[in-house]
Amino acid sequence: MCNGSCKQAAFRRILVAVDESKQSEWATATAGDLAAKLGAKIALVHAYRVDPGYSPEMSIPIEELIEDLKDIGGEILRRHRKLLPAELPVEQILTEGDAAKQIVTRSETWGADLIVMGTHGRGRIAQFLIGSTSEAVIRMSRCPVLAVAHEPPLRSISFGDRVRETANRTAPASTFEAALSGSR
Amino acid sequence: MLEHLNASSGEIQPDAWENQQRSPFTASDADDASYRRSHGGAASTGAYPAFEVKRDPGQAPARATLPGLLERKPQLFRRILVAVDQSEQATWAVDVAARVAGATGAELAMVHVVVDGTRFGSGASAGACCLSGEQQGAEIIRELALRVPKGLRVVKILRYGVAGREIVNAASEWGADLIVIGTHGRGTVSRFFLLLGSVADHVLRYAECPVMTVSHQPAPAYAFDRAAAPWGDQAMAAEAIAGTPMCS
Repeated sequence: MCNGSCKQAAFRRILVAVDESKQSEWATATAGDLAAKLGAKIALVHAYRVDPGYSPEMSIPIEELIEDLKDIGGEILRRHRKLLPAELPVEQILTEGDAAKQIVTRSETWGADLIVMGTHGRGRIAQFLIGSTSEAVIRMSRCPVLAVAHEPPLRSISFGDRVRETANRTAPASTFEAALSGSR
Repeated sequence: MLEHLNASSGEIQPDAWENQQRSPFTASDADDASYRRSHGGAASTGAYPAFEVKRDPGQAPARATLPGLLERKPQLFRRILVAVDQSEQATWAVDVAARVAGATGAELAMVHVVVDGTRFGSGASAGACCLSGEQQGAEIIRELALRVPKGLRVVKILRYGVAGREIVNAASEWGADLIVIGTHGRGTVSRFFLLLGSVADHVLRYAECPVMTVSHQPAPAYAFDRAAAPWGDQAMAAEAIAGTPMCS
C-alpha cells in the first residue's frame, strides 16, 4: 500500500521529559509506542531544582535536600523506564537546573529529533497556562515537540473507530470509580 | 476468531489464543500490570464485562481482553491532522507529519481555516472576501499536498471561522489522534510576545489529542534501515543512572 518513498524513519532519537505528573507518564507511554514503531532510541530526562524560596534556617541542610531531590528524580526515572518496552534502548539523564532550559540543552547535546513531554490540559488553575515548562520548551527547542495532555486511548485492531470510541467512553468512568473507591 | 468465544457465557478461553497475544511489550507480569494501569487498564477494570477473561488464580494473568479485537500493543497515531496556512512553518509541519504518517501508517489530513469575512469586514463585502479566502485556502492545501510522498492519501479539510477553534473542532470531528502545527503561522502573536502563536497556543490548550509543534525546519529524512535501527545497542540500555548525567 505504501511505495518506497514513505519508508523512512521519522525520528531516531526521542527525548522524553519526565516529572512526577500523570501526564508525564502518558507522554512516556506514547513515546515508547512511537519509539517501538520507528526503531528509535529514547532518553528520559528529569531535571530537579532546589526551590528558589529555600532558606537554610528554616529547613534541612541544602546538601540533604539535593540528595533527596536526586533520590526522587532517580525513582521517577526508574518508574518511567518501567513504562517503556524492556528491549528499547533507553538512556536516563538526571540533571539539575531549570527544567525547560535543561530539556532543551540536553536535547541538543544528545541530538534528539523529537521531544515528548506531558502537559496539563485545561486545568482549574491552568486556564491560562499550558504548563510553563512545556511552553518554554516549545518556544526554545529546535526540534518538534509532542505535547501529551491526554491518556493514550485503548486501541482496537479490527473494528476501527467504533470500538475505540467505546473504549474512550468507558475509560473515564472506570477511573472515576477507582478514584471514588480510593477516596473511601 | 469467533470460534474462540464461548457463546453461552461470553467468555474467552485463554489457552486458545494466549500465545498470539504475547507481544514483545510484556517483559514480565509486573511490567504488564504497570503498563495496564498507566493505560487506563480496560483489561483489568472490567470495561468489557461480557468478554472478561476468566482467570484461574494459579495461572499467570491473561494478556488481553478480546482476541484480535483489542490488543494491548498500541496502534499508534492512526489519523494525523496538520494545520496549514501560508507560512513557511506550515510546510515544515507538513513534512514532519508526512514522515510520521509514513512511518506509522497513519492517515493524513490537512486543515486550513479561512478567516470568516464577516468578522472583520462589512456584511456587503463578506461574500467576495470569503470566496477569495476559500480559493486561496484550497490553493494552499493543494500545493502542500504535493509535498507529501505519493503513497499517502491526504484528506483535505477547509473550514471557516476562528483558526484555533476550528482546528480543534476539525480534529475531533475527523477523529484525529495527533495534531501537527507550526508554532507561529499567520495568526497574531498571543500572550504578550511570548512567541507562541495564538493558534498553536489555543490548539495546545484545547485539543483532545496530543499536539506536535514544529518550529524549525526538520532535519533531512533518514533512510529507514532496519539493520541500522539501534535495537542492538544494549550497552546504553544497561547503563544505570547513578545520579550523573550520561551525555555531556
